[in-house]
Amino acid sequence: MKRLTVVLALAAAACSTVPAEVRPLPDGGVELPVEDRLAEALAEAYREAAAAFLRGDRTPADYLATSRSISAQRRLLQSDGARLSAWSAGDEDHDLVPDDRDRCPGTERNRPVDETGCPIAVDPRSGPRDEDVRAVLARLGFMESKLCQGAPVPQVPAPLKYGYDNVTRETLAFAVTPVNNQPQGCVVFYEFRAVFIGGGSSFDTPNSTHRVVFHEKEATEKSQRLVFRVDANSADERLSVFTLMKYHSTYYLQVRAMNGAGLTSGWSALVPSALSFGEP
Amino acid sequence: MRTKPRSLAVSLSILVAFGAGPARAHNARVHQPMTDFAYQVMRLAALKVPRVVARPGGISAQEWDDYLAAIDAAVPKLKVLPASLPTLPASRCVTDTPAWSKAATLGLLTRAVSAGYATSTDFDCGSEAGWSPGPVFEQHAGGTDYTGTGLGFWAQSIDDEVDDFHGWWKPTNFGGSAGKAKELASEGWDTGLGILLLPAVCFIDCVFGLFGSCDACVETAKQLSEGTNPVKNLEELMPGFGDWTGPTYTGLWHFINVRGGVSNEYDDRQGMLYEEAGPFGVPGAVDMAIMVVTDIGITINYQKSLGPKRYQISGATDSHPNTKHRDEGDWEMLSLGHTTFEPLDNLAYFGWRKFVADPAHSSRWLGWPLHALGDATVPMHVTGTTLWGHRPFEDAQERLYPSMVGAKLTPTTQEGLARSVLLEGFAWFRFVRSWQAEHGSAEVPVRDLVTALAKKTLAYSQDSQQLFWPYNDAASTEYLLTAKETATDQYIDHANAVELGRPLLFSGQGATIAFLAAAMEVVP
Repeated sequence: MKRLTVVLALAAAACSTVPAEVRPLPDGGVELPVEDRLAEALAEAYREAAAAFLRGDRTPADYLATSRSISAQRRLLQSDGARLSAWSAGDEDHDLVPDDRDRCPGTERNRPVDETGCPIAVDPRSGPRDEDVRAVLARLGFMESKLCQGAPVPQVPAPLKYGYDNVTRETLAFAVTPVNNQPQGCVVFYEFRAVFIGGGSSFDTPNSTHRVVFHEKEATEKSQRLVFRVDANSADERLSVFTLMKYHSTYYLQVRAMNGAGLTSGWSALVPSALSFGEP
Repeated sequence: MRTKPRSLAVSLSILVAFGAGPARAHNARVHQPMTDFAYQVMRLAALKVPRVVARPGGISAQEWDDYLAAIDAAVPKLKVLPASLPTLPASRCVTDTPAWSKAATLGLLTRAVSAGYATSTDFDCGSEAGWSPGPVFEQHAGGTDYTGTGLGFWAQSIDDEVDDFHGWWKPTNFGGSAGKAKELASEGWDTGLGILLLPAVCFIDCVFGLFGSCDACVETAKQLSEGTNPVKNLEELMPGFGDWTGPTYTGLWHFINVRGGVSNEYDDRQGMLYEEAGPFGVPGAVDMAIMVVTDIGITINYQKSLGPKRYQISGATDSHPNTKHRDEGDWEMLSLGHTTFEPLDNLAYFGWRKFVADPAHSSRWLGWPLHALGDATVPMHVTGTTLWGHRPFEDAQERLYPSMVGAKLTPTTQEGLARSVLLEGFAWFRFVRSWQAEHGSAEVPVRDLVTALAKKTLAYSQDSQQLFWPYNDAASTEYLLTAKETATDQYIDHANAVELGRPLLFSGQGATIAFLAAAMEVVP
């Protein structure tokens, strides 16, 4: 099997002390303890299975069966010291079955196997629909900002006032307390959630919820409070909220913050329209 | 046990928020009122309201009287438990001042405690405006006993135990290299928005090096970040790296998969394990997406997480085996999709043992078992899945809750519902007594109670399964990808939605009564 080695100097840099189980190698590297090598092998196996699925080489059922197979082999190895030693001595086809017990050597990678290393048939119905999983993956994203590294969870912002800020009702504004516990330069987003109660409008269904998200840079006031504005020229959810708040009489609003590291505050309390509506 | 792996600083700080809210447990506005309602039924029983406490046929007078006597004794004891409410800042008490500090015990509460007492930023001083125990309780017992709201507050608060879970991405899981994505962070290229937004698949491409180069994905990411509004909906973003925690994730400890054929590797009950999720042994689409994404090396952060320390059980005295212990290396060895979390009954047992060991018997500790009893009434919690209709089902239960307990019915009609809950409670109290007799012990079998309730929920759910109720994976996908409200409405508008959901709720409230009645027997 693949022997994991790391240069001793790098290992020393990453560890305060080199574990006693680490065995020096003639080339100056070290061989990690078998448990650590197993952990590495497992991570690699799971990762490869996921990668095969993402490439489209495997179905969800294949991925699930392979994951379960890897987990089953792990349980066998962790519960049987002799098997673990045998695995450490050799696993040519990387199926986590020791070579000396592998009746099917050379198994294709990323395929589920039984405890003898032989392939297991996969029921193609035993997984969610491929298109559903890919739709979820395509929809989700990661957000990062290096200036937010090590930032704490943002404080919960408090909504202050919200309403139309002129008599012609052309602009809807939200005022909120700023989050001020983030490192310099760490971006903060403010997400408002409006809950419309009781179907006061023919434009919307009763008890509907709409969300709008603002980048802090969009605020028009930035001192003691942040004020965000939307109007009839806004798009998507912003336009929906702008329109709905005009015609609904009963709604609640709350806000939360998220930083560029993805840490999210809790939601503020729901503020009823009757309490906070007014010109910000 | 493995040796502790090397800890390298996580250099990426990337967002992660499970879009479908995979781990958030049963809604606060169900946990709290279901506990309060159970307490109000106990009050009604203690007042001996005839139509409520009449002994049903087929039950011996001795058993029934034992049950009612336990309730009689429990109610006053519950009222003298320490309320243990945290002190609120003065800024929270602008419009109301219930003087919580004087409410040293639950019975001294002068207002209903709101679910957001500790976490909200509203100005109502943590009181629940407009609270009412319900028509029948108003009629017979009055509306000034807020003990149940205090218990309910602690029951729902377990979802806010955010330090139960901290996750992180371990570069060591890549053999020290995270590929292009790591380079992006170190290059420090930025956009006008101050962030880099990467599609999940693109990020995985980069980390896995799937196509030899992820440059095309990076270009896509740049275009996304430079868009006019890349973050339309924060909940569409995936859980990220660095240190991520929050109420969304605490619920990973709130599952008990009582479906047959699960691995039960570390306990005699199975907690959340995505590989084995789902009512039919098949994870939902988002369950699987989470598995795939976390295979890039997202694990629990053992040092920062309280869950492994709290919910791995040792020194058990309830006839169940101790947890097969995992240390730091074990917990961080597998990515989240392949990590088995401790089961819900262990969570209950943690709080229960704290309650027993606490000389003051703070009501806070009861929050854990009470929360577990609530979660054990949710079909998805007892099959270990964050999907299959999980969130829309729970949102619907919250919206339907007033109808289920007859909040707007006449006192007489609601009286019938209260009696139904009392009878459910008897069945669970009999379960407790049987366990105690069988084991020759006065211990309250908290873990068995949670497990039995979970099994009952599963059996009911399987028997009741229709095309869209209760298990409905398409609803979860819709909840995430298109329309939350529409997904929830599938449950709300389902024929007989109230009648279908009520048995689950009542069973949990009955178990709550049995638990509280038995629990107070350990209080002097």
